[in-house]
Amino acid sequence: MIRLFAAGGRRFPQFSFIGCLIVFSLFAAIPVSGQDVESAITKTLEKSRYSERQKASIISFFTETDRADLPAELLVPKLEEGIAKRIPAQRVLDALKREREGLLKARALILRVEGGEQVLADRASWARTANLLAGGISETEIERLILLCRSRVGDFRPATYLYAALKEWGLGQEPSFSLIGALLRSSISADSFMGVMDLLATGRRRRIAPEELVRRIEEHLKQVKRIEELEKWIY
Amino acid sequence: MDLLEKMLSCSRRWFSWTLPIVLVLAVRLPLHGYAPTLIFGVYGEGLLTADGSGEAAVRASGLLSWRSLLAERASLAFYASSNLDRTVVDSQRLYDSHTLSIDALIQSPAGLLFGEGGLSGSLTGTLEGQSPYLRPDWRIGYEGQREDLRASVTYRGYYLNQPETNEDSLFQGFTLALEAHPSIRIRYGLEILGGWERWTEWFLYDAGGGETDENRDDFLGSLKVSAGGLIGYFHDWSIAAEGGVRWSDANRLTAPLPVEEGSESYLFFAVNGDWAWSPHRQVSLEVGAFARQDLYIQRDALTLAGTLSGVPLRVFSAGADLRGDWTPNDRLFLVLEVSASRRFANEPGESWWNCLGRAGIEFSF
Repeated sequence: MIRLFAAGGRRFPQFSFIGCLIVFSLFAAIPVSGQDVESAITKTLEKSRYSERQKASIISFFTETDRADLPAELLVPKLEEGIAKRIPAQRVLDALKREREGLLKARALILRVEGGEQVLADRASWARTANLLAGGISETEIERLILLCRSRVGDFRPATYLYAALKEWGLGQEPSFSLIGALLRSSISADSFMGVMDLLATGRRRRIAPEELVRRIEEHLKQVKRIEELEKWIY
Repeated sequence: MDLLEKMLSCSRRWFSWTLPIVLVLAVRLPLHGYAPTLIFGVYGEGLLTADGSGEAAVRASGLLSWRSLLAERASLAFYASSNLDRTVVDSQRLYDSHTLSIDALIQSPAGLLFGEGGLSGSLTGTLEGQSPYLRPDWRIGYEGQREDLRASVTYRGYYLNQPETNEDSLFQGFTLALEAHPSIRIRYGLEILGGWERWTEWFLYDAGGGETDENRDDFLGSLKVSAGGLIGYFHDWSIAAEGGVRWSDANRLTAPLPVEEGSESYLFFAVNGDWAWSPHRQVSLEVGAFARQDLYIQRDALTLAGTLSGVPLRVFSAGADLRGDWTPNDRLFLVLEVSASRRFANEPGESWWNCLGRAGIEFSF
C-alpha cells in the first residue's frame, strides 16, 4: 500500500486553501444544529469531485435548511448517496431540495394532528412521514396513523411499515387501521409487528379471507404476549 | 366387504367416544365459533412413474374446518377433508383418501395443554400408490414459554391398519422440543423423538427359517434441528436437518442364508427446506425440497437374481414440490401443483421415481 502511494498512486482531490476558507465562512454563518452534522457534510464533500462553486451551493443549501429549522442531518445520507454514486452536483442538489420539501410538508402534516408534536420530536418518525408522503400514502392515512400511535409514539415507524406492507398486499384501509390499532393497544412488541403478514399469508393458504383473519387476530391479541402464539388460535 | 366392515367398525368405535365428548362440550359450554371454512375443489392431474406408465385422473376434494372458542383461553377445532380421484385413461379406477380430526387447546397460566385425535384412511387406496388403510392417531402435550424460549413435551401415537398387507403397526412415542425466537425474523428449533412401534401382523423367523409368534418391535430415536423465519414482509422460509435410527428386531428369509437378522434396522439422515411467498393477497407460491439417506446396518442389498450382494443396502431419496395459486376474490382459487421425487438404491427393486402435476379450481364458501 505504501509503495503504491510512493510510486505516485492516485490521490484523493485536496481542498484548496480558498475552498477551505469558503466552507469555513459558510459554516460559521450557520447556527449548526450539531458539530457532527457539520463534520459529516464537510467530510462528504471532501470525497466528492465537485467544483468549489458546487460545494458552496450545497453548503448554502444546508444553511438555508438549518435556518428553516429543519433537521439537516436527515438530508446528509442523500448527499452521501449522491456522491458515492458520482451523480452530478445539480442533480444531487435537486434531490436534496425535494427531500427538504418533503420534510416541510411532513412537519406541517404532523403538527396538524393532535399530539403530533411528540412524533415530530422524533427525527426518524419525521423522516418516515416524509417518506410515506413521497411513497404515495395520502395525508389522511398518515393522520390516522399518527392518531393511532399517540400512546406509543416510539412505535410509529414499525406501525407505518406494517401499514405500507398491508396496503401493498392488498388489505383495505379499514381492516388495516383496525389491525394496527389493536396491535398498538396490545402488549406485542413493535419489532414483531411484521409477523402479522406471515399470519395473513398462512391464513390465505388455508383459504381464510384476510378480513376474517384480521377479526380473529384482534380478538386474540389481548390474550397473547407474542405474535407467534396467535397461530395456534386463529386458524 | 371384509375391508369395509373392518374400517367401518373401527370408525364407529372412534366416533363412539369422540362424538359424545363433542356433543357434551357443545351443549355445556358457551361456544363461540369462527365462521367455518368450507372448500370444494376440482382438479385435473397426471402421474408419471418409473415403469414408464402414465395416468391421468380427475380429482374432487372437499374440506371443512371450524374452530370454536370454548372459553377465552380454550378452543376446540374440527377438521375434515376428502379426496376422490378417478383415473380416465386406461382403466377407470376410483381412489380415495379422507382425514378427520379434532383438537383441543387449553391455555393456563402454567402453559398450554393440547390434545388431538384424528382418523385418516382410504377405502380403495390412493392414486400415489398407498394401499387401503385406516389410521387413527392421537396426541397430547404440554407447552411452556419463558421469554424467547418455548419448550414442549408431546406423547403421540397411531395405529396403522392395512388390510391388504401384513404391515399393521402401533406406534407410540414422546417428543421433546425446544424453540427459540430471538426475533420475529428468525427462530431455531431442536427436537428429540423417542418411540416404539409394534408390527402386529409381522412375525419373526427362528434360526431355521420357521415363523414364530413373536411380533416385530422397532425402537426409533431421532434428533432434529431446524431454523426458519421471515425475509421482509412477504417471504418466509424454513430448513431442518434430522438424523436418527430405527432399531428393529425384524429378520427376513434370504438365500443362501436362511435368515438375515436386523433386516429392517437403519440409520437415517434427512434435510428439508420450504419457502413461501405471497406478495399480494391474490397470489401465493410455495416451494419445498427434501433429501434423505437411509443406511441399513445389517441388511444386504439384493442382486438382480435375488441373492445377497454382500454390500449393505443404501437408499437415497430426494424430491421437490411447487404449489401456486391465484384468486381474484378470496373465493375462487386457481391452483397449480407440481411434485417430483426419486429414490436411488444399490438394489434394483428399491429404485423408483414419480412426477405428479395437478391443476384445478377451488371454491371457498
